[in-house]
Amino acid sequence: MNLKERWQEFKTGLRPRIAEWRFMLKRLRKSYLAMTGIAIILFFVGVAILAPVLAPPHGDPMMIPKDYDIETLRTQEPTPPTIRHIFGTIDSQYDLYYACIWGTITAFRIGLLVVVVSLVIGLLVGILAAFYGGLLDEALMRFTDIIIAFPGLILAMALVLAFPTTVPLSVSNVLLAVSIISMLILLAFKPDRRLLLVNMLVLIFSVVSVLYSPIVFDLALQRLDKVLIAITIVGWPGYARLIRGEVLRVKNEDYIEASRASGSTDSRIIMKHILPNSIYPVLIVATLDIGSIVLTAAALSFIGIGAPDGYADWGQVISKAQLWMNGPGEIIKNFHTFFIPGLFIALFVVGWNLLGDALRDVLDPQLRRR
Amino acid sequence: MAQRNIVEVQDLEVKFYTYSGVVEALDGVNIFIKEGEILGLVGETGCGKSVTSLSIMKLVPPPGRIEGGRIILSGGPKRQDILTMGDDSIRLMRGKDISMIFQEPRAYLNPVYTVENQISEVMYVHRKNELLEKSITSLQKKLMEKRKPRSEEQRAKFEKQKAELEKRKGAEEHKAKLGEPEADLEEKAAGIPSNYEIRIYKRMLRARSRTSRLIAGFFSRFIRKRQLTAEARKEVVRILKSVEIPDPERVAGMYPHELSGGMAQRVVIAMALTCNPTLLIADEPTTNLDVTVQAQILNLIRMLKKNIGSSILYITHDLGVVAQSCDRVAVMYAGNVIETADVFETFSSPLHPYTRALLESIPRPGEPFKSIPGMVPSLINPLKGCRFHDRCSYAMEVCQNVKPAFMEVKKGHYVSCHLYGGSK
Repeated sequence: MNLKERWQEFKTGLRPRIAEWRFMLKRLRKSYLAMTGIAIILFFVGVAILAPVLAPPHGDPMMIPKDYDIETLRTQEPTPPTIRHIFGTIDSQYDLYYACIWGTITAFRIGLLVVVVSLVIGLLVGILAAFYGGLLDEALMRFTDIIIAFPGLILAMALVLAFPTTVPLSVSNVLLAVSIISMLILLAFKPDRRLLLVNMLVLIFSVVSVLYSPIVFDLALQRLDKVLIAITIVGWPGYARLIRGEVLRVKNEDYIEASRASGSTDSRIIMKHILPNSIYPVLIVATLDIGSIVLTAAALSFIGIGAPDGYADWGQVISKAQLWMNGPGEIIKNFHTFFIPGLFIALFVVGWNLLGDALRDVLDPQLRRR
Repeated sequence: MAQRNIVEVQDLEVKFYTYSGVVEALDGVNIFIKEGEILGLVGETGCGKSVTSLSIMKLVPPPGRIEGGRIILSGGPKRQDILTMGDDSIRLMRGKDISMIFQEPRAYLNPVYTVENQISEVMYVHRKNELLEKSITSLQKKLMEKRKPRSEEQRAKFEKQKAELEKRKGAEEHKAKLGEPEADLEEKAAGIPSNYEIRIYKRMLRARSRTSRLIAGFFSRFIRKRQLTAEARKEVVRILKSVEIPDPERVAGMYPHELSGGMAQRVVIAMALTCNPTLLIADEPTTNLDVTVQAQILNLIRMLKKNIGSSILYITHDLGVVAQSCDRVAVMYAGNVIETADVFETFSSPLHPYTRALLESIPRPGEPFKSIPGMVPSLINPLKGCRFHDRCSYAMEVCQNVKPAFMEVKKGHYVSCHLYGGSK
């Protein structure tokens, strides 16, 4: 079959999909708010991609350069915007423009990474709990309740402070973690005995070898990594709860019973019937969360336990601004130090929120085909 | 013609453990369904008709438990008790040997998938190997036609290959060969073409154990299986045509909410008939449809029974439907089957007082409306003895204490009542 024929066939196969996407795009294009949200996100994506062009780095790109020429004049005080520093400088003569541009990358990294990881954990826990119910549901949901019971920011702070700087990683440690997780999944999906037996053997082997195996390497945790892990731990229970509710609703639908009556396995029912009917609300919340997670990370940076000193991060820039705000005179004089990074954060959050709202309108299966 | 029993339900007991007490939903139900007949299961709401049908599928919902009895299925080569079968073997039986049609067709279709997707899913569960073989042969044929023989010698070789391929069409032989790894070498030697897609299908076919099937399924998930979907689509269209859906190609691409009620019911019937089941359970399939559509669906079910030859358990509370379409009738009351007989016999000479009262309460123009006095008893604390005795006009002393046995009074006419010697 030549390439042209194959392409033709591919196109005919995709036609209904394309029609659906077109329909969605049309709906999106009609709403100004959605278009604004998309424009803002696209703007930030552009900034993140073009960062090396917009603000050429010297040395480590994620560290904000200092202007030593001004610092040698023995002043740490922020200077207002000049041609040399378009957005001005902040405390210790860090360049604000550079911080804002490269901070975009940090924001995307925090937002996307945390949301994706906590989404995966939350979906797994929520779906298993809701679908199998009983003791498994009780155990998993009480565990999530424990995490939800703490105020999010405070727990994240405590976790960041409690994490060690290095994690000793050995082969058997990793093996242990992997085999425990796979064991849980296997138990949930009731596979054949052989696979279970193999997994059991690996588990026992890794438990024994943990005691003897030497440490292979130390995994160094950067301060930002700690923030990411802490926010993930605080964040996944929300998704778990949300998806659990949705799965409980869908589980009792008649078509699940019909699918069971036609001989489907549990995993097939989950993947083909439950997930597509219950995932949309979670996806929408996740989109909204990308913005709010950046806010949380900024708050942690503001307190001083987030990104390391001099790291290109919007929250840290704002926390440095508060050093030079003694009295109304200084606030007006150093207006740019908090207003410009604040504007970046606000725009970023608003952009994701608008996009989330737009997705809600577009993805809702009840509204979609009307 | 001596007909054997496809399904025999013997002394089935189902109890629901609820907060307000133990509901004795089924209390010794006896039904048998013969080969190729329609058995009507009639009764009031809440008398246990649906629970009976769900028990046959072993799908009684959680607070309920099957406490006793036997359900013997003899559709296949051997007689099996469903209640003692393992979870996996019973899952493979659902949808293949026994399938079900439901009351509200649209609720039983997943709103996010097209008709084609839903029907082909049942096919992938039970008839995947057949589809895989079909797609392998048709892909090989396609590849053969692509190859253009140039010289006389080549043409002769080509003809030989083609003949080889034709010979392979015998499904049994084909299957036996594909099961073994040598089949590959043999094919290579014969010059039968193979491409990436064919190799994937073969791998999927060869996966026998559950683990290897899991792995093969996982990796094949990321590859577009064009021929397989095409074969499945052909089958779907054929099945849709067999349930008399006009323009099946278009309907196959529609979503459930785009279908009318009657059309949706036809799709659900098509789904149930995908694997030519030996027993089809129809749980009030026409209740939510308007009368003309109802008649069409009834005709369709009767016609399909003739074509496919499966037995049907038809659950309904509409006596008119029963009279029109069933061969035999089983009447249920409060978790018991109280009378089973031929349709004509049931309507002409009913024996059990409840059946008589039920037939008298069919409204007729010009006559005063009769009803059965009293209420259906609560199943949490059911009456001792015969469960109908408090509403029965023939009630005797025995009825209050002893449960009547279910016995054959005339040939093929079973009743459970003390009036006919049930206390023996």
